[in-house]
Amino acid sequence: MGRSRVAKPIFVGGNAIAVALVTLLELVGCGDDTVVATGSGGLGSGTHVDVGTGATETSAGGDGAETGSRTTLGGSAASGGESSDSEGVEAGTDAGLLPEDFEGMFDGTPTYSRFVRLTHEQWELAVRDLLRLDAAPEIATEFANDPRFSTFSNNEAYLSVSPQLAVDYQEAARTLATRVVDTPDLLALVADGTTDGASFVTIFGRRAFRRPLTDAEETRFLDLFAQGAELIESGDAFADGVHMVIESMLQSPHFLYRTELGPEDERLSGYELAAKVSLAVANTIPSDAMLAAVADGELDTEEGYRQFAQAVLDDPASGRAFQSFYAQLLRLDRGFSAKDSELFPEFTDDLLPALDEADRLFFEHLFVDDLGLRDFLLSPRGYVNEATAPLYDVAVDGPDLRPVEFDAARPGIYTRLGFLARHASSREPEPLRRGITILESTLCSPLPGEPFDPDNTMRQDGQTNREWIESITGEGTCGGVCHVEYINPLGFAFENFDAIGALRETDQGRPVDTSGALRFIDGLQSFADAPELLGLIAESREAHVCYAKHLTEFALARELTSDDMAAAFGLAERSLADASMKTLLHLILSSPSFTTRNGGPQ
Amino acid sequence: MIHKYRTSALLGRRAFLSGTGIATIGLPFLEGIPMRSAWAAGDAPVFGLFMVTALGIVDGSQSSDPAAFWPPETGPLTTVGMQAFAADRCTGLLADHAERLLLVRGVDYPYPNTGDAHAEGFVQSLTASQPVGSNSSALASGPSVDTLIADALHPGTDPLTLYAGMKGGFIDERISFDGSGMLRTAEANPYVVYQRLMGLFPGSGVADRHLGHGKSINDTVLDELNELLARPDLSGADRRRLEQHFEAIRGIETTISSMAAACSDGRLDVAAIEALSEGNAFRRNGAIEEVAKLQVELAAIAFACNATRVATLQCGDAYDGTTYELDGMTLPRFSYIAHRNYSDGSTGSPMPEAVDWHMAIDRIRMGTFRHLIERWLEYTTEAGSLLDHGFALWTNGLADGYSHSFRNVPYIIAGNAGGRLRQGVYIDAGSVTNDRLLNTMMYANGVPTDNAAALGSGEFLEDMLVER
Repeated sequence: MGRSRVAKPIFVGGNAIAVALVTLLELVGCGDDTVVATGSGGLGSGTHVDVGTGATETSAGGDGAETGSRTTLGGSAASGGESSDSEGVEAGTDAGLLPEDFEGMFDGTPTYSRFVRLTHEQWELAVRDLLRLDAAPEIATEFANDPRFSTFSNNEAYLSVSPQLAVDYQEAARTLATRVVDTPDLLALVADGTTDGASFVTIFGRRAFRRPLTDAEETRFLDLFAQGAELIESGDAFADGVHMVIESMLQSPHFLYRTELGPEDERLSGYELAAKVSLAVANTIPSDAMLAAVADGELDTEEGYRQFAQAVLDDPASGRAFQSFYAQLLRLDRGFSAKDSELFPEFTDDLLPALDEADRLFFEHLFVDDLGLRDFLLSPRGYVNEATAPLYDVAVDGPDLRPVEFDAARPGIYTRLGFLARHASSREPEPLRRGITILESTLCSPLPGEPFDPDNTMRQDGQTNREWIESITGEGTCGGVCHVEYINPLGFAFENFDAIGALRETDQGRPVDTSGALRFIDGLQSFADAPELLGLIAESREAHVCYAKHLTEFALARELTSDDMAAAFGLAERSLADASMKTLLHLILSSPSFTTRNGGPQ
Repeated sequence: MIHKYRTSALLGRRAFLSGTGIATIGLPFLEGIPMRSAWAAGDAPVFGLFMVTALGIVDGSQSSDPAAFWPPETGPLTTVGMQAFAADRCTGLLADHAERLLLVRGVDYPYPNTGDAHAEGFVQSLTASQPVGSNSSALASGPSVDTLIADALHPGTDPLTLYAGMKGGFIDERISFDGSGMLRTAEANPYVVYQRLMGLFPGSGVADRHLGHGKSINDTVLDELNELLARPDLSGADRRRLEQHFEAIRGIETTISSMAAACSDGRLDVAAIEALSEGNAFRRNGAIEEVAKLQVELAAIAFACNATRVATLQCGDAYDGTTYELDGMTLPRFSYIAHRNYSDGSTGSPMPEAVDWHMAIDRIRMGTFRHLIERWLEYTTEAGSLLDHGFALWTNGLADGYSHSFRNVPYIIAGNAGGRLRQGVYIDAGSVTNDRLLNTMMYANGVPTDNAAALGSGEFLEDMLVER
């Protein structure tokens, strides 16, 4: 709202790559009638998009991330650390494209930490795999929670060890160590059958630290092992030593942080790469086989590393991190609002786990079956059981969730109960929430300010939900600018889904109106209903840019720079050409932005 | 798994207490607290709890609303005087403790709302700093008062940061900040807080384990962190991160080794705490006030254990779906009530009963604060109760609930903080910003007036103080 006019491309670092830290609203000038033109670069490409006019010129090289080992997400490795960021910030600020608080820690500047703490979800799975447990121990649910400052919880800048979390780690380490030594079979499993202290330290340390221990570390932990018999006094010296080592290593910074300890601007070590890929994709530490591959030198070449990354992506057990990616993107970690039990007696708390699991299965399907953004938005695949099937008006027996193909009225995730019911009040759909969420998650448009909060006593009897919203946010109101062409049409398209996500045909006794026109970069585009709207979004360039941006941010586990964003445009071109999420991820994992240590003293 | 461990530890502790009869005997609570850091010899320690509630109050600022919160006029507070308006104005529910109260009106948040008023109100409530970021993600641009107090009185030890409510994922905790943008997480489960404190009680938990192998392990972790900190190629951010980790481990060591025999759970309703041990019982909707009551008692124990001199407690975050019961009926979500329609914004159906329900909730919340006063009065030493050694401050992230106003935010303070704060009086600060009130509370908490750290203007509200 009220942004300055921008009428020329903004160039970064002399690469003729436009600063892409602009959002849809900024691009199209929500709040004014500005026509914004900005360039857009692929990964080392010559792509140029005149957003304001919609004219697009794409030269060769739009798929830059795989054009060469020195290509970064956004430029060459050598130029990645250049001053293009500051230039971009300055240019963007001058142009009024960036928020006022862009400078400082909220400006999206990465920390480029050498010590990226495991997320609680990663800690759970790492402990499961390290201690050979059948399932995650579900201890981290009681850890001091990490505040969420950015779109994703894995953002390196915000993962630290607070005093409370240190206590939590300490208690968890003691609990788990006790569990291992009190369970003989588990102890034998964790120790790989050895009963020798030195061997145990070597074996366990390699897994916990994701690399062989140094000689000094071997000595340190063997000494700790030796103290066990005297300090714990269980009568089993080996078990006591194991207890000491497990309890200590689970609190070690080398376990709790994924480290990048090599020189600046150089490629990460094979062990660091294996850990980074494994945690990024599978949310857990590398397996013994992965560590063995590193030891065999398989990651020493670019080609070897790429094959390694592809194998991790293709592992059916992988993809867990990216289920979390989607869930966080749509804020599905938020609870459901209570529904009016008289209006919706069928929507009970018993349904909620099935709705969450259905969404998870959908995301798993997208990853495992090598699908992409269009499928996220348009796939007919859904998962229902006997409890949720009636709400979808389909027939399924049994409590287990089963895959179904919905009809044309329910394409993609935004027509599923999990999304629709979350974004609704107790009695009615909430088109503003639905619209805003889609705008933010799929079109990358953070919105200024809080939603309107006018006096609702002005709502007239008999007004439909849409009429009421239009009366307070439509043309001629103070919120008209951003609402009329962006938020409202996105929300109104789903007005045929009630507060629990079931189909409805009428509101206040009159047919619901799902039609509208959404402003895209190419101009206003009309639609009749949600399927048509989602189809338009799926073919829009801005949705693919947004998707690529989010995917890059999640995979790199940090805020993006202007160079990264320029690179995301290149990924967006691939996504537009129907590249799957895995394909895009492999490009990101293969880029020097992922494989090279960068950052430095600040 | 961790529940299993904690339960067994809890039972062990309770058995110990029963065996010694401590569980049924009220201990002199504040005796023998070790003196530390900024306190000169001979001074008594002062403790402060800042309690921030959500969604504003009904204070009559809307023309159609009754004046249902503040006393009718400023001036001295007496039990008889407050009883006279107790039926209509919820602060009257504190009438029995009139002589221990300091009510302050006329205090505003310094910065107007630019995004989500709930988040920005919480952010400013204890920092008086400009919110940065957008909407529900707004953060403070400076430290909160509890951080400054902790830094001054016991460096290296974090304030106790507590929460009551469900944490719905929209705003969650948002009042305690270590610095610009550095939000401190709050513990919402009283059972977890209790477990941590229990470890400090002599004869059990962490204290004893520490005597065993724990110290060796902590030393190993500290050695590893020291080695990493010695690297010359660390960025400033990484150095701060590792130093924070290092201080956290060392803080555990320090806390354990410095605890005296004064702290115990002798007055705590352990059964109520234990009832919250399973799953998400502490997050059960409708339990927010019950949890808040337990948290303020745990704060008192933390003070006694010298785990901290300052604590915060946030009750709800506005959008978390909290509901209250009134006369056996579960009311709609408090957020809906505060917004006066069946939505978190303005798009729901009208709610004609909203004002009455909001007033009723204000009275329920005032009952919780009265509980705090009455419990803290039970903790006595020769010099008086915990309220004579400290204070509890009750405020809200907003002023008027419906308008989301930042003007005339309510402040109710119980306790004289070692004789520093005036008592038995209701004052009008005259539309000043809350940095002045927070600086005054910092002084009351024991931070010397010449301390370099101060919020905003650095000025005080002298009218709140006996003398300075």
